[in-house]
Amino acid sequence: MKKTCSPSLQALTAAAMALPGFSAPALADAPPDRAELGYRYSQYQEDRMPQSQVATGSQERYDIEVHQFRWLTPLGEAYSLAATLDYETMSGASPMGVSQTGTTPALVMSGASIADKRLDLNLKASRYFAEGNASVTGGVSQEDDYDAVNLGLEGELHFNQKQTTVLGGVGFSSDSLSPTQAPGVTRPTEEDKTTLTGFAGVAQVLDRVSVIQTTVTLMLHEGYLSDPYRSYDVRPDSRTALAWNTRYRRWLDAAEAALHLDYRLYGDDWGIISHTLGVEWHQNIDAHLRLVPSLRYYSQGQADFYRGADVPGLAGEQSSDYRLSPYGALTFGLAAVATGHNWRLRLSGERYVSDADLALGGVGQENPGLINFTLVSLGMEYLY
Amino acid sequence: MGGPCSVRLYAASAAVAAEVAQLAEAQVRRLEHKYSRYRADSVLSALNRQAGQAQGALVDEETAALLDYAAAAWEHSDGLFDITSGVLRRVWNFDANRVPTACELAAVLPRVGWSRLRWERPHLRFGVPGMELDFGGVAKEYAADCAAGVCRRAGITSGLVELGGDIALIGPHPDGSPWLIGIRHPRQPETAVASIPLWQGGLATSGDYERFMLVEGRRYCHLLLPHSGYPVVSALAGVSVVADSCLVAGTAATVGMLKGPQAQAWLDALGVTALLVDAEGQPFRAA
Repeated sequence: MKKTCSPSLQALTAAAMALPGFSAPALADAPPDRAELGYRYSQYQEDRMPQSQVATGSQERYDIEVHQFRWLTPLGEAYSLAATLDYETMSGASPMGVSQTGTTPALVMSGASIADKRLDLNLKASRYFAEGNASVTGGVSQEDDYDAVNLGLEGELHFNQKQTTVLGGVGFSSDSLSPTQAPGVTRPTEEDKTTLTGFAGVAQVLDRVSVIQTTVTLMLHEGYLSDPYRSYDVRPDSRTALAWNTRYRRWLDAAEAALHLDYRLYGDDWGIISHTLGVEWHQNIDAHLRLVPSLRYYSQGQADFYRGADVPGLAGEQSSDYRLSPYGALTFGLAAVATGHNWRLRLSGERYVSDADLALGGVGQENPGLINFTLVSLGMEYLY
Repeated sequence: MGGPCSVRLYAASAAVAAEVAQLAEAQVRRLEHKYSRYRADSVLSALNRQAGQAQGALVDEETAALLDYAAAAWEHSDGLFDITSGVLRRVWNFDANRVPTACELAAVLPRVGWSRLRWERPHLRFGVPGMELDFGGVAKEYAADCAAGVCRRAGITSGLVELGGDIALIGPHPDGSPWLIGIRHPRQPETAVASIPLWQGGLATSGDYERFMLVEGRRYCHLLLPHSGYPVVSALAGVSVVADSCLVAGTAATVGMLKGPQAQAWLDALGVTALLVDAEGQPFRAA
């Protein structure tokens, strides 16, 4: 039954598609047609440390509660504005270092008295064109011992009837640290750092049911990059990092489900190389309910100047931070998303475990500061 | 819009369905109001008044796009699809059961013809006094496409919009199966002669049965040829066309009817799937 499309039919179809309310304007980028108001509550809880891994101080780690408010609204035919406000309260203890007194290294922890609040406001204004969109972003973040501002520009260009999208952006952030002082401990008083970020990528619709996106991000950090709360932590004052992200999405008709595959390769001039592989299965249960089990694997190598334990008096760079140590991690997640015609509810839980044995390749000595955590969140959105 | 109108869709709940159907209906009402030739306050009526004056009319974006579409349709139908041919109805009064005289026809024919318009977007002027535009062949079909578009943008993926027998698909059934559209018998409206599977796009039918009169044993249908001013004469009773949109399907069906015996050849050359039937509801074959 399929016939060849004549020039006349092409001309008629093109004239029809030029009509407003037709697929042509629908194809053009447009601001969201409804405003959204959202709230999400998250509870993040790091496991208590076993006594054997703590040399001195608290066995508690961090607990964080996050209240996130989100508002998105179209502004006229071609603009939209999005605002998110995060309010976090943190409590617990953090590692100040790693000491090696016996055969195995153990953590030197602070007392369980740390309590901080973080307020984070981010705005994004977007302009929509026939072939793409452009956004300006800006944000401020404030803690007792940390202030940050960020600015950014990003955009997308669609080609080939929106089958191909080129995206890119630049960002700048300026952070200032004013570490909380404690009696008997020498800490820096005022430090700064800046971060420049640039990314570029392309997304391609492969067929009716699958799409792939790949992005390269370059990050340049400059300034004070050490951890002021660690007793012996001296890091280079610049860090150049490159990340390559690839995301694949495929809808499976027969299963009424979508498969999401993500891979990230990261490397920096501190010597860290990491791999992240994520799998999500978005299963539609019915028109209102979707379940999303997920699994993420992470593995990183150590920084050049990483030390398994602090070396007092060592000249030059060193750090015993577990985040610079070699390790691997697994994250197990499950989310349920319920949708109505003007609301959405999302309940999710995540369990994260990290371990030197999970790293690719062998690790001589595991850092005692590796964390395990549980993250639970409940979010609701209202569209109007 | 004339004839039964319906929106059928699959939605998460009855409330969502009702809300989306309301949006679709509002879109159809908007276009009906805008392009009705019966309403003195319609955009079309205002356009017909202003375009006849020396300074012409300034046309809005949507109407301009419809005029561009009508220009393309006229050009690619050998002048058969002509939105200026509506004035012929002034002399063809199907209710009065009377065939106009040659004199009467000669008086209106000079006012018919797309080429007599001065259309320079966004300005429209009638080249001959007394001309008129009639969006009867485009407004309903375009409205069906728009209503289906409204539903899609509201997140509906399965459903269809039917306006007086012309159909614009929102999308196939949720399991991906097509909608089966019954094609009515040209003389027995309650009987279907065929059913056409439709996954996407639109389907429109043009028939000689919508309005007609019998004068001295001869059947005159409402499909008037813009060149001669007379109704088309052929054994072809109905044309149904499937296309990417209801609008294009409607245009192709109308031109198919006006092509008479050449309908099949013209539709084949155009490259659309079409069903042609004669007065008995049998597949039409050119004599």
